Amino acid sequence: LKEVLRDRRMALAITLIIMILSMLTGTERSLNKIRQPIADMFYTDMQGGNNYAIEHSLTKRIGHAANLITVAGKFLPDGDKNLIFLTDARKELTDAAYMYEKYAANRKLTDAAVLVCIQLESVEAARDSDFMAILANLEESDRAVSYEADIYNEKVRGYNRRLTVFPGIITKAFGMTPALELFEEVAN
Amino acid sequence: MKEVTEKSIIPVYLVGLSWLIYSLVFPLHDFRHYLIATALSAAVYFASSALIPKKTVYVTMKTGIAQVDELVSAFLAHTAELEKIAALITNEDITATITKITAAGGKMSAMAAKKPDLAGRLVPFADYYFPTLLKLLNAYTELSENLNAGGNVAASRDKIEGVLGTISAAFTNALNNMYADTALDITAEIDALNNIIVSEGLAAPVSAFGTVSENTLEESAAPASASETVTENSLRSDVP
Repeated sequence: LKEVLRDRRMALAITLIIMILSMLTGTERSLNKIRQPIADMFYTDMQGGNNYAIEHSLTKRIGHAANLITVAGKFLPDGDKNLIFLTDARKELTDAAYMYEKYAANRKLTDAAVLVCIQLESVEAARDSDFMAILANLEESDRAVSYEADIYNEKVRGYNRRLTVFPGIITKAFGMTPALELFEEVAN
Repeated sequence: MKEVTEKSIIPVYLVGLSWLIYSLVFPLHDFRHYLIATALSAAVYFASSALIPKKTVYVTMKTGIAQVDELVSAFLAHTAELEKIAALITNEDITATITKITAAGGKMSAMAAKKPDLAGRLVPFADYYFPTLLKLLNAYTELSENLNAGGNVAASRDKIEGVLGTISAAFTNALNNMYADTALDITAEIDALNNIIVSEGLAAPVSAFGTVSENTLEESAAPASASETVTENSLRSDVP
């Protein structure tokens, strides 16, 4: 073995292999170090808490939607189309696993909530209820989601841009550094 | 054998090591990081190359004749093994004899590499003398480790010590014979040269007593003694 290691060509081959492996693992380690905090931004805000994280705002919206369903259930008949639409939207947002699913479910929840509130406005008995306050909470949390999404998406785009140039493009090709998902609408 | 200065292999491995350490400690996600790592590894390579001394190795010169090359290689391998055993022996007389043998062996293989027609003289040494010598010396080192075992051990050691002188003489004589062959060739060439000089009418006049005439001595650029023979004078003249 000693003789083999002393051979110059063998030494060059071994060094080259070490260099390539070091480059790949080093780039992977380095990019993942950048990737992780950005991925975490969806769940945790920059201050380490979760008050300004998208996931936190979405959870709040799910809670507001539940309140609205309860209130609307008192005044709208069973099987009401808009109420079913709101219930479905809430469930979709709760069950969404991917970013694009969460984004789409969140949009659907906004539309459904607005439709239910418009319908409740026309119901005399519902005017004294606090559905407008719930709608206001839903709108406020939606604005928070948009604001947080802008920050998050900007960071994600910055990271994903790194994967289009050397050395990220190499590690991405080997599946070592996957791109991050944007919180936005996906064409398909 | 040819003396070759060989660079150490360690700087090459240090380059790999520097990349490994850099990749574990520093960021490596940007083109600039790669430039820094490359510069660092280059610095490691050149610094270590400068600090680690170059090694002098002896490379066997190839004659192009497979049999001769094999013979010379075998000879060198035996010589190297002999040197290893010599390092284990504490008796200075024995190590001195081994040194003589290895020196003679080295010269014999060098001569054979230069003049392949002399390689035949190496055959008995490569096939018999060297293997027997190695066997005896291995036995000698084993016996030396068991000196307390009894009188037989000391007797065997004495026998081996005695035969070493004979083997050394065989090597020296074989080397002398090889030189004698070379000397014979030189004499033949000198004779041929003289004959050509004489036939071309370029030879210096010779006195009746076989010495160079005074006139010739005066004309000659090199100072030569009057007692030198024609052959010697012819060699000293500026004939290319």
